[in-house]
Amino acid sequence: MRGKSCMKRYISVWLAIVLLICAVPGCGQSAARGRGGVKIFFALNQMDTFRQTLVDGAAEQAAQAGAQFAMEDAQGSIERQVEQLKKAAAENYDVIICSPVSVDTAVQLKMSVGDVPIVFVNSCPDEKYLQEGKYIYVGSSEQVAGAFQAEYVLSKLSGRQEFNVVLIKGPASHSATVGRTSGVKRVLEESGKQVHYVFEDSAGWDTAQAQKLFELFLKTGVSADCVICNNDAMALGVMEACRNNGIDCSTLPILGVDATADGCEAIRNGEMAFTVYQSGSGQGHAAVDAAIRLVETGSVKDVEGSTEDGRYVWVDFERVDSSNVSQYDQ
Amino acid sequence: MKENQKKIISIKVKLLAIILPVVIVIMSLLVGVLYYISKDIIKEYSENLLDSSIENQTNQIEAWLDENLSAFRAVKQSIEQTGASGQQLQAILDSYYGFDDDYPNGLYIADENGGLIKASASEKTEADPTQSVWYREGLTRWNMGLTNAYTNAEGAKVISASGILDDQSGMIRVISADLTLERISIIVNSYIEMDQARAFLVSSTDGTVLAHHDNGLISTKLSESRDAFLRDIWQKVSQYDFDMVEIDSNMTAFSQIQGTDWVLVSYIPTKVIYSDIDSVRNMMLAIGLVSVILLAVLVERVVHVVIRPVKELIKVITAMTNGDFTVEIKAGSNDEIGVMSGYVQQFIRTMRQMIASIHTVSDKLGEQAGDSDKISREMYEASRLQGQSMRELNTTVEQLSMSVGEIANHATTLAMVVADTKDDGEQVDSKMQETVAVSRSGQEDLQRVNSAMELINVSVQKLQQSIDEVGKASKEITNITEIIGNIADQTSLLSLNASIEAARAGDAGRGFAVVATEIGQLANTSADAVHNIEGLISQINSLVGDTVKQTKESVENISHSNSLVGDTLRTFDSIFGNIDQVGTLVREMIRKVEKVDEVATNVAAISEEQAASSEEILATSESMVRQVDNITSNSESVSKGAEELTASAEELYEHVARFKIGEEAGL
Repeated sequence: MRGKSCMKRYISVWLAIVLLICAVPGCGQSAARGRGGVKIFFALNQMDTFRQTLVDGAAEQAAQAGAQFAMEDAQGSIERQVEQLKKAAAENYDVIICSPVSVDTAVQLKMSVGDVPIVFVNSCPDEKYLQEGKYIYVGSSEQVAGAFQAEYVLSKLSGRQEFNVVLIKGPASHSATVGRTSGVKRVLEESGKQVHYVFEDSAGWDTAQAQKLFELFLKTGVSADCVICNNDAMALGVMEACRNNGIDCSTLPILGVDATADGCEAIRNGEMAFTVYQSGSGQGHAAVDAAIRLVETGSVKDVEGSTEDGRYVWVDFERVDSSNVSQYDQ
Repeated sequence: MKENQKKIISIKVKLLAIILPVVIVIMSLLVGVLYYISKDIIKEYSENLLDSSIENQTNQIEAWLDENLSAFRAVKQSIEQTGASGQQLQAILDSYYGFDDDYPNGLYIADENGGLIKASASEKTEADPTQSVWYREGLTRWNMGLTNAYTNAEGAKVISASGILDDQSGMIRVISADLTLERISIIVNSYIEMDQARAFLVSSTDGTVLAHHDNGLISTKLSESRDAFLRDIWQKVSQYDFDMVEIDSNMTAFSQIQGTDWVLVSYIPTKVIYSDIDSVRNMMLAIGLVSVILLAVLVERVVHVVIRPVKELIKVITAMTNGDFTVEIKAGSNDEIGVMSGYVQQFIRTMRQMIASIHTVSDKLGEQAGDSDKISREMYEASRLQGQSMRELNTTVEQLSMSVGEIANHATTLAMVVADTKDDGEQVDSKMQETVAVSRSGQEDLQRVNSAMELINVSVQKLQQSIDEVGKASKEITNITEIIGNIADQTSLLSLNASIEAARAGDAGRGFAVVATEIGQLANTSADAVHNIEGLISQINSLVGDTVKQTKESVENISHSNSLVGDTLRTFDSIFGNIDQVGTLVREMIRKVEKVDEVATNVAAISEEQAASSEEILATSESMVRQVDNITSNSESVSKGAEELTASAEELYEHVARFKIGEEAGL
């Protein structure tokens, strides 16, 4: 009996200690700030048309959520961007939305804001620099864009078991190039069809270079069943080359990404078959949603499009072809 | 017995029994938790290390590829820009032969017509360059890119960097350079940062092994490998799943080489990683074990030191339990045990004093009980003696009483005898008076004899007769005196007895003793007188006899003895005087006898009283005897009580003696 009561006492003491230990950190987390009080700072790398839609979407969503919103443009200067982030941290912004001037500066950017969480947009830092609940990326998955292109090609050439593909890529090291290209290749591979990459080279997003490369390809005399470009600009170069060589672009599916005005125009003209719209305002909305959620709950896992590891929130691309191009034409 | 005497388990054992398991459990938990934490940490660390290793390798490989590709592009660009052909082009190609170890054959160019331009020294041959891997793949790009691995015409496993040479020659030309897979393998394996990690390069498009530390595997296909590990890796690579993962007990990391379809695979056996953890665990277990042992020793020591005073205390208390209060407790520590020791020490002192007092008291008690016993014995003895004495006294008093009774009887008898004696004395007196009268008449007769001497003859007869009668009377006197003498003797004896009895009667008999003495003296005097009388009577008798004879002679010699008759007359006179004296004496004696009678009567009366007193004395003495008997029995019970008291005192002493309290307390 005595032994038993002793044991009970020991167990209860230990339980008390364990509870105490468990209880202490439990007090730490609490949503201190109200939804309306969230202060968001948008650090832009450099303004362009796409980013304007991104910033506008973010501002709009912030206003709707009742959050404070401020934006500054680093105008392509890493130093200026770091400066702006330090200032934002000093001014007690709760969260930073940042489109980095260079993704290689991610560590420096994180250091500049101290404990403040960062939502990266537009260009994605390496995965290892992201951290759940602290440093996340909101954007569109480049692979999805590539996959959309491949799916279009597959549907267009559905009757063929074997076809030749020309791939005009962006700069080799660019994440968009890698993502979009792998997206294309994987989907095509998974289709089980015989796909020959009869030409695959980088034109560095450049129309003229793309035109030059495609003309060079044409010289090889190999036939192409489709031309998949990592962006619309290069697709325009390909179209130019076709025109110069008397090739009817409407018979050769040329695909781009971005749904630029020129791209949409080309689609409407029937020269370009397909492009993918990256929703700037959608990314802006998602970035603000994720930012607020990050401040309030420390996690973006319940935000639509978030990945399982909680480091990414993917915003869907949108397919653009002749059937819906009018919605994207400005 | 066994149930009563609980098994004694020392505090030390108890504490150790409690603390050690707890500590062991805690240690085990600690070791377990630390093991898992450190396992995680080491795993994470290893992952990071492998990550960084593979990243670095990737960078190195990319840099190496970039370097070579850049060199090739530079050559290609210069050819394109200069539009070099013929000798000029040959010179350029010749200048790159042996220029770099990585591509010893330099660059070479093939055209769509199957023409091959190469460095002069190059041994490269190609039956139909347009059908070669490098040519066909080179046709798909302008920027020089890497082909898949293939075996060239010389039988070497190579990859080529090839691309369309846009030299405005009007012909499609492809420029290319070969990089051997052995060289790539060396590059791959040279940049492994992590100890005991392995790496190999594989094409993600078809699973061809491009570089491997085992050269035999180079250019084989992963999917066809007999090694399950390699097949599993291909499984992942073919699905473009490049997350780090544990495959077949190997931590495996994947990295894509930029600008190529290549995937660098780096792996390290988990047992290598966990060997560190195991050594950490073993170290922790050892430390834990040592800690437990140290703790056990420490606890044992501490408890030993802490409970040492308790042990001493136990000794002291045990000694105390056995009655030994001579023990001392050392001044203890300043903790609870110390306080306890202090109080026990105080208790011992108090007990010692108390026992000492009890000792003293019990000693005294013993002594007193002894004394009391002795006294009670003595008292008993005394009272017994007294009882005896009293009984003896009682007997004596009884005898006395009897004696007094006898005395009274004797006195009565004496009084009667004396009365008789008085009567006899009176008779003697009358006889004496008769004798006197006779003597007078004899004197007268003698005087007549004297006067009538002549008539003597005639009267002698008569005289003779008278003398005879005197003789007869003398004889009677003699008889009487004898009787008186007897009486006197008896009286004397009586008085003696009375004296004796009086003496026995003590004070009470003192007066009586005087009387008895007087009576004795009187009796003596009477006896003397009787003797005298007897002597006188004898003398008378002899004188009478002489007288008779002389008378006869006188009768015969009357004539001769007229003088004699005169003498006789004188003699006769003295006889007469003597008789007179006797008579006086007799009267005196009678008076005395009367006194004796009186006294004897008194004696009798006193004796009666005495007897009565004696009875009372006897009664008193008997009650005294009873009381003494009571006293004796009381004193006996007192004695018994005293004995019991003594016994109790001794017992008490024995009990108290069991407590040892040393000399200090004064025992």
